[in-house]
Amino acid sequence: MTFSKEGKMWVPLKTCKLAVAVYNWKGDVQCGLPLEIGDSVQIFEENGGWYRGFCIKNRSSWGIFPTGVVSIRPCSVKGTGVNAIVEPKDDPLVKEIANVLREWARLWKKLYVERETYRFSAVAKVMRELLAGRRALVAGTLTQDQTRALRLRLVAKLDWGNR
Amino acid sequence: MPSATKDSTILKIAVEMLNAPETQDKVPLLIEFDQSQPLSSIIQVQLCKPWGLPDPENYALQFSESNNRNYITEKNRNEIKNGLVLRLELSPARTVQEILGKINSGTEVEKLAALEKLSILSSDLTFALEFINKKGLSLIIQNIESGKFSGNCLKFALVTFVELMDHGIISWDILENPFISKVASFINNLANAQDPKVIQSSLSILENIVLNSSGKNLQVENEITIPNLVSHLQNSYQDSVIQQNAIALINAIFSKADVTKRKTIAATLSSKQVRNVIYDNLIAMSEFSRNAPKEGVGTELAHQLYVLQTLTLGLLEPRMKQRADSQEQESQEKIKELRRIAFENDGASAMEVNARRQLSFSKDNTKKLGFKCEIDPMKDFNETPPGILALDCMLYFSRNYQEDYTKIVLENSCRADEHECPFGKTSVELVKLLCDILHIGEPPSEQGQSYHPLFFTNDRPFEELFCVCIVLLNKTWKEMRATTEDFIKVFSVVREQISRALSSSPNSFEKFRQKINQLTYSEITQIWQQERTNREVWESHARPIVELKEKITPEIIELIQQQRLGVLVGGTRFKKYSSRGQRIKEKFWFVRLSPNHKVLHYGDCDEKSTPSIEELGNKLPVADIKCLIVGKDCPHMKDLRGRKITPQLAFSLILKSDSVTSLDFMAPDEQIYDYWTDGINALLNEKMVSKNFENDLETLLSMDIKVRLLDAEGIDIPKDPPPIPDEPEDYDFYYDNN
Repeated sequence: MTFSKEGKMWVPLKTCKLAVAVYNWKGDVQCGLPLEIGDSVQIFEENGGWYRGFCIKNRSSWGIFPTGVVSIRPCSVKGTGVNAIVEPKDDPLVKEIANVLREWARLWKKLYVERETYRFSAVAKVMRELLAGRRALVAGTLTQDQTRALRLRLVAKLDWGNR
Repeated sequence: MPSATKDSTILKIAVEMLNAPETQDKVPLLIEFDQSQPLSSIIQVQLCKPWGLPDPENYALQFSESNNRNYITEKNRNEIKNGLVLRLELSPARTVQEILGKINSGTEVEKLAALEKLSILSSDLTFALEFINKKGLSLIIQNIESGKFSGNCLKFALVTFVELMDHGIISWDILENPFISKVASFINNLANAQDPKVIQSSLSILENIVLNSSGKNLQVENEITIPNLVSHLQNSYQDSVIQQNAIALINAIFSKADVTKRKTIAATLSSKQVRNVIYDNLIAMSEFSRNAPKEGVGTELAHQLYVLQTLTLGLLEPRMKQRADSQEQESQEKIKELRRIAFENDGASAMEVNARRQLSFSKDNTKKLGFKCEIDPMKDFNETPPGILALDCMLYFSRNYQEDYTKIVLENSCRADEHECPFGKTSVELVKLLCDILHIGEPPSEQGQSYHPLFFTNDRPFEELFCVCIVLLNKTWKEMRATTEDFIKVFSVVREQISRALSSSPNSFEKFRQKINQLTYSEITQIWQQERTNREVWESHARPIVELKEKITPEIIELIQQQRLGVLVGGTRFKKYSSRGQRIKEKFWFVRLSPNHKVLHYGDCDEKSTPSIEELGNKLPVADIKCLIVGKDCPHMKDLRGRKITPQLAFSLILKSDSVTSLDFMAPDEQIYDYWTDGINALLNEKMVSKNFENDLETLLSMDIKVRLLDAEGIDIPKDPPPIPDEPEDYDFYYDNN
């Protein structure tokens, strides 16, 4: 792969982009932003084969990374310049499940350390169901009827966990 | 060894001379072949001199491999490898001179020998150039054309011609009609048995003329008839090269012919008789040879069958690209006929239908056919592809499978819910899908080899395919309990069903129908599910995931340690055993770790109580533990003598002090055993190794990874690491922060 030599300058993107890391990158260059696979990043500017932005989980730390390490995702942008905020264009339920799972994952590890064996395995089971259901929603291979039924089931699971 | 071998320009080779001018062969020579020396001087100094040959310019070197007998020139001499045996032969110029002489004025025997030699040498570009320059090609053409060659001479002459032309240095336009007629006559002359090589070569020559000459294809078309070529498919030699070349010639004529001629050819080819010849002699045979790959003809024949199939299907292209015209009478009639067959086929209810017709025949029934545009159904055929071809297919279905057709239309028009599958709309989409799957309208590719045997079993294969698939589509629609919103999803399933059923190469439409009916919706979802699972398995071993796992494993191990130490602080009641491993009835002891993880407190207790630290009389500072021992190495398991105790649950703490040497445990179950040994190992800064540890690590790790990858759901992880570009030339960022 060759990179265009024309883009020798840092150019701002017309609108910010949202991307997800599809590989790990140590960030071992000047101003490098280390990335782990699965990290979401917001991108502000580019220069040839490089992007510059921050990791959503740490908005204060800006850095550069190779364009090939991330995959762009559809998003909506609010605000402009350094104050822009990107939101993934996911289905609201898909987004909600992701948030809930992140929250639960923390609590779930606590249950483990505290040896709440029963609740630990019950929560794990529901988390796996939510993961599988969310995956099916994202894949989009279900019919409308199936999708509706799945949504109801998933919402019920969320309610169960939030109680 | 002489230092010369280190020099890469010097090769050690042998040279022999088989056709020496003297009566006896020259003794083969071993020479050091210097790649930096001109060939002529090597021949002169190192070969002709020792062999005593005058006129070294009359000689040339040749390879003597079974697959390479080419002359060696300054251009290809780098192909010479250490240890090769080369031959010294008469130079191309001298050989050409000799051969031409024999052809012009030799005896029959000499002529034949010269032509045979020529047919072999002609594949060598060096020789071919020399021969063509000396007007050899013209001589061959003249002699073939005038009929001067016959029998084996003709065979070698034709092979020579094919080889010479194969180099692509001479244009096919040099050939005149008489020559074409002559070659065609070898093919048309079915009465006299010809040498297979003559037919093979003649077919190949004509194919090349059709494909590569400008305008001479008409002459070939006039000379050769398709039925004649078809008869070569069933030749008595069962010669697969003849079959292959014959079908290649058919394809060539087919592809170059004008539209009218093409239709005639297609009609001939799709007639039952010809179809059967093709099927029986080529497809059934090649199916057979697929099991015996030694045949080796499979790929070229498969390619020709693929070309034939593509060309035949290509005839549908004009219909596929033609939009419907609302005013056009023919198409209007077709829609009327669709309506008639659907709603008037039942003679018994004709009266009723008549009565109904008077009410709102046209509007209502057209609606029932399920078109997108109910007022003017012709608009449904405006999109190309599939254009008017969709209407053709629908009509074919209604005429030939009336029962299936009426069932589909009536069933869906009677449904009151949103689950109906509109016949018109789905038919148009299905024809579009089929055109896409079969690449209709695309020229045959150079490498294509995928032909569908069942397409050679019917004269309307495309329409038949539609008929099977429209029934399937309705079945799948029902299985999915689909609504009109699910249109796209149903089609993604149907595409999968059709592609999979076709790729199993069914050899009849009946087999195709069976296969596709087995591929139910649930079968397809299972296949997809399996593919997702496979992908997940792959991903779990993908490099970035493995790296991430390694990175977070220490955090997870830390969690497990905390959990295990929690177990120890909580304490456990153990049954008491004597120092020799004897169970002491009704006696228990309790052990727990102090909250600061520094001291183990233990003491006797009864069956139910959970004593606090203060109630436990004995103390063992963790610092006094020397090591952990498990299983039958424990002191209390040393002397089992056939007692029932299983040592797997035993563990001992070996102490540094001399007074008490060990603290011996017998866990009540595997989990407690695992928790305690892990906990002790954690206290001693040793690795945890229990089965429960492995399980917990896997459970916690895989969940953690899944949650970390939530944002990457549905995005492919690259197989290879992404390229890292050169570092940017400057760091003058646009946004001036950080």
